[in-house]
Amino acid sequence: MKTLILLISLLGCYAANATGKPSLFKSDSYKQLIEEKKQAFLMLMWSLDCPPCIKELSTLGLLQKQYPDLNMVLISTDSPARSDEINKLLSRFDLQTIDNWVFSTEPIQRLRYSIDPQWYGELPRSYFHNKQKTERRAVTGILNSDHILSWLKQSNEAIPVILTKALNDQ
Amino acid sequence: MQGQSTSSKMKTFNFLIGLLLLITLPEIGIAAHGAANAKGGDLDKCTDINQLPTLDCASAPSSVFSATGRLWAAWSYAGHVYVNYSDDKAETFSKPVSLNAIPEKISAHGENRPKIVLNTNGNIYVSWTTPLKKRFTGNVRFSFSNDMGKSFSTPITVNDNLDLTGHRFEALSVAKNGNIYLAWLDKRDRFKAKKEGRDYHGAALYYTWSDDGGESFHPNKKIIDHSCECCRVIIDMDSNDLPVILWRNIYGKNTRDHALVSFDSASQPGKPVRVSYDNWQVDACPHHGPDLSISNTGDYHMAWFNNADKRHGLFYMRMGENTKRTTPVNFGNYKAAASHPGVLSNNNQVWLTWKEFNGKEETLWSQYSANNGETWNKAKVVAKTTQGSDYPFLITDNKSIYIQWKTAQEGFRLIVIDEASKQMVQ
Repeated sequence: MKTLILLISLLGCYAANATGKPSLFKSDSYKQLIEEKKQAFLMLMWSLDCPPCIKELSTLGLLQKQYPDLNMVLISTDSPARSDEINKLLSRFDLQTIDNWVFSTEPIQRLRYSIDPQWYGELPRSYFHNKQKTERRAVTGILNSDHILSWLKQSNEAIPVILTKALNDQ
Repeated sequence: MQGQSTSSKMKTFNFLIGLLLLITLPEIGIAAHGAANAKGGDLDKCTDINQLPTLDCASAPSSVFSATGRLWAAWSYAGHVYVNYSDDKAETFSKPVSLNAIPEKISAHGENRPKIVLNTNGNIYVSWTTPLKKRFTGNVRFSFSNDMGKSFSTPITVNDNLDLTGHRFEALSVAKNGNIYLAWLDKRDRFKAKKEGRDYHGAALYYTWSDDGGESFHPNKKIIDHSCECCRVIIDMDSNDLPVILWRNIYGKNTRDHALVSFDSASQPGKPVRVSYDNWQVDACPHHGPDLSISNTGDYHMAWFNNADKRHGLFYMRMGENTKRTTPVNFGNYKAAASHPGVLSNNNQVWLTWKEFNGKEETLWSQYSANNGETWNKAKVVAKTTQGSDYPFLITDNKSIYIQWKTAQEGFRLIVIDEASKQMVQ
């Protein structure tokens, strides 16, 4: 049943991106995201102009292949005018079908503030959210697979079935 | 002026090329957030084929006063770098002159924008980065005017390595003796290392100089390996008329603190010294470079941002050419995202600027010290905006202190710091 729900939600994500454009991230989008997410999730802020972000996307791409039910949200801080570039880059890492967003044309300060007043725009910046939405952990810098897997291990309630298996195998 | 003498046919051709580039290569126009757009209702001015763009079309301008008090601005729009001037403190501007007949991509965002400096005779020097085909690549470009901005030399590429890699984030300065200095973040060594299958962390800091008024530059020289990759580099001139460069460096595996180098001669950089010890260990792009102002007494005044767990926020520190460094002090409100600091000094006077955000509006702050940064007056808000803004820059006409602040709503403006105007020591 869990797998079925997961499958449906994955299809939902796919449909959202079927237009090939990232969704527009506005100053109320984060609130909506938090409300909509039913699982623990990793939200990654990145930009086309950030070399380490590209490295991180490559890691996430590989991880996504290994654990297709990994709950990730990618948010590019570039302008919507660069949506095609964003899509092209995400496709390179097979990440184009996961939940992905681009900052709208609202003032960037306002968008950053809506996520975290203490975030100064350093990239990549990641936010781990647990299932209950009671905990959020912010990390600046490149995440490796171990970071992500160990966090998911800590938030064990939130670990999807396949991942639990993978973690037990370790 | 060159812009005026351009035939309308050429202008149309350039405009169409520019428009095409603008559509296909968004980095030129950088319709980035907030400060990118022209003031309300002025957008037509930017896209009207029969009109030259205005400063309000530009996302990331730079400005400087000449010795006679004329304000010169360099900025870019749709594949062209433009220069124009104002004789009424940015109320009105002259018709812009295009520096590049052939449109090219131009980096124009917070950390990297066209730069402009003037020598003591009023000759104008402008530099910028042109991004290349591949992501994170670029060349450093340079053009000058010896006729008070009526015409500019054909732009040249300053980096003598033309690999398809990064030569970006240049800083530009001119000495009293006329030498022109450029320093930038260069990835030629990283490019070579990758080709040879070796790892190379970050970029390198390179520089060059011209002793013939910008007609030619000496071969590029490396100052240090492993600089941070995407924070602005700053140059100012010391009391020996030699450059001092401040940048964010990578120490150890991933500690991104600031470093400074002064020079023994134009051709001989000294040994870089570490300036900040905040120990921000991060494998990320802070996009948040430092600022440096050297007073006529030879003191280096520095401001920077770091975000380590223990030591974070904006910092000010002074270092003398012959005196000990002061303990860095925090300024601005970390909880209100105090960011993008600027510093300016004159004799024993020091001014700081930065911006903050309270969730609704951005505030521009200034703080003043009359005793060489030993103690500071209370910080105060000097301007506000709600629709996004560019970084603030402190500039002076040697009578008053101004902050250049381009905001989406109000456009390009100079905000005079009253405190300074009343008290500035001549």
